[in-house]
Amino acid sequence: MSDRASWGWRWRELLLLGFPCAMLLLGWLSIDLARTGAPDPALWTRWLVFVGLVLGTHGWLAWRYPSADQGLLPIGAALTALSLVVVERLVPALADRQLAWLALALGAMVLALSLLPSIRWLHPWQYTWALAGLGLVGLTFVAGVDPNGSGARLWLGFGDALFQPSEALKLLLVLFFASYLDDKRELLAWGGPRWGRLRTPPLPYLAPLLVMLALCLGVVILQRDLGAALLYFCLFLALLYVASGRASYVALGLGGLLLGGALMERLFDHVRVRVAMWLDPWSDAAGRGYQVIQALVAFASGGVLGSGLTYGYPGYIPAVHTDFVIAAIGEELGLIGSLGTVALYMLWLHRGLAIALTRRSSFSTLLAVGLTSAISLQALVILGGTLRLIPLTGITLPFVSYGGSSLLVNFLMLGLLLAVSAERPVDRHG
Amino acid sequence: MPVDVLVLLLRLSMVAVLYLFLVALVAMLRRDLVRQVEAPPEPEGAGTLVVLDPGPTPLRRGQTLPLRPTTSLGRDEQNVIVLADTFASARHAVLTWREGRWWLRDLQSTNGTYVNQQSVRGEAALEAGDVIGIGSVRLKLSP
Repeated sequence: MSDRASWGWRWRELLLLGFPCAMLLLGWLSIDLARTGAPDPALWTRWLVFVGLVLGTHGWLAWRYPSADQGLLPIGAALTALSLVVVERLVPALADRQLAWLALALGAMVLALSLLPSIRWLHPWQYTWALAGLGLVGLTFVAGVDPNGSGARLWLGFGDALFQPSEALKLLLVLFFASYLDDKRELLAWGGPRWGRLRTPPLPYLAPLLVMLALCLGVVILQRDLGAALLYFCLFLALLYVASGRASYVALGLGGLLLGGALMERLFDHVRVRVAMWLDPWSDAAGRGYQVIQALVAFASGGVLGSGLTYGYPGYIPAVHTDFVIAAIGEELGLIGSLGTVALYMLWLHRGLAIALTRRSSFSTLLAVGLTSAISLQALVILGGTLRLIPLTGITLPFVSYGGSSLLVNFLMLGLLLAVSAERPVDRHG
Repeated sequence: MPVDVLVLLLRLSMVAVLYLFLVALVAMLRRDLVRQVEAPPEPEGAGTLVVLDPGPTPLRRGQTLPLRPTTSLGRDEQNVIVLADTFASARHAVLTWREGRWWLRDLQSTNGTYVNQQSVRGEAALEAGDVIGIGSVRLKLSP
């Protein structure tokens, strides 16, 4: 929340940013020493690039958004530092690329925040956001590529770089849901027809929203991006609950989710495989259950303290540097490492909801809840999948997985949340 | 010191820094919460509007209008606060006390409701000292 008592420099943020910087240096040093016995001379330059990027953003915020929340950027930086350590460990060739993406992501965040006239400005463009997101994802049908042979053409190629539109759709859907639900808040709270004790939502007023949700879900399901579909739906429920205050809508929605899941299990082979491999991965341990089992083995062999960076064997897990990155953390940094990562997401959630509670307009509240829960729910979906608590649906671990578009969109969301937190109370002398 | 001991220490200190970071964050969150809780509570639903500019209405400048937990404003005689201003809609806006603060809702009035000269879309939370503008009437919220 904004610290109105001291409108000076953002000292608390500066102090907190020291920790991620130290983590990155210690992690990279430990990797280099284990590999060659001496730190690589380039390590210092690359570390200084990270420090420069983070402090540059901090300085810009102190200039333009002095009253914005001071905990968010350090949390994002800590998760990114973990990401850079793990990527350096798993695929050293990609570490510099990830650092470049970080520069791009922070740059885009700063640019977006300087261009954004006000949070309110986002409100009237609701259908534009939704249609733009839908269009981007639709493009993958025509021009989609599948760089890692996972059977899902989810990426758009731009020369050397790849962009995953479903990541952008996440942000655009938050904007759409928040603006739409803000307009229809009273109607939702009033409710529709009653069935016994259960009050159903006023469906006619929700129709545009539901159509848009169904389109988005349809598109990503056709693209076999199950993680994104699950995320969008849960995000919708979270915002519907905050807008209406009715737990019965959430119960109905979760019922619908189970029903839809069961139906898809019947209809689609790839969904059936996911459910079967969740219930019993050992039935096909060398084939379709391989990834899940290798991740579990990685967690188990890591123990509490972990094997140490470069001392484990996370290379056996397919997609370990993207979706399964927490398994590598669990193996080499141990339970203490993976729990620390989870705690970062919990604090992100706490911070974001605290911002939402102190907003003065319902649109800002909804937007803050949407931005906060998109990241947290995404972490929940992939962490639960990796740990075999829910069926595995592939999606990146926000900020930590290797991936440019993911990092870019996540920092844009962080930036928007900063802007929401910085909204000054209506000027009293105006 | 052998390299592998150094590697071990570096890695454990990396995780230790992560936990120190978490502790520092939690301490910051706690400070914010405590400051919120210790802020003096406002009396429930009490407050008045002070007329800064009566416009064409028979209200007097400086007159105080006591608020009810739900106070409607508009041109219609049924409103708690009647604003006989041709630029005010019959049912123009409503003030409600909720979650320990005043909320101003514009009832889709023709000429809009303003707080400190900013247009209110939907609902806005108010703080003491905010100036409500309806038509050419200016009302200041005071606790």
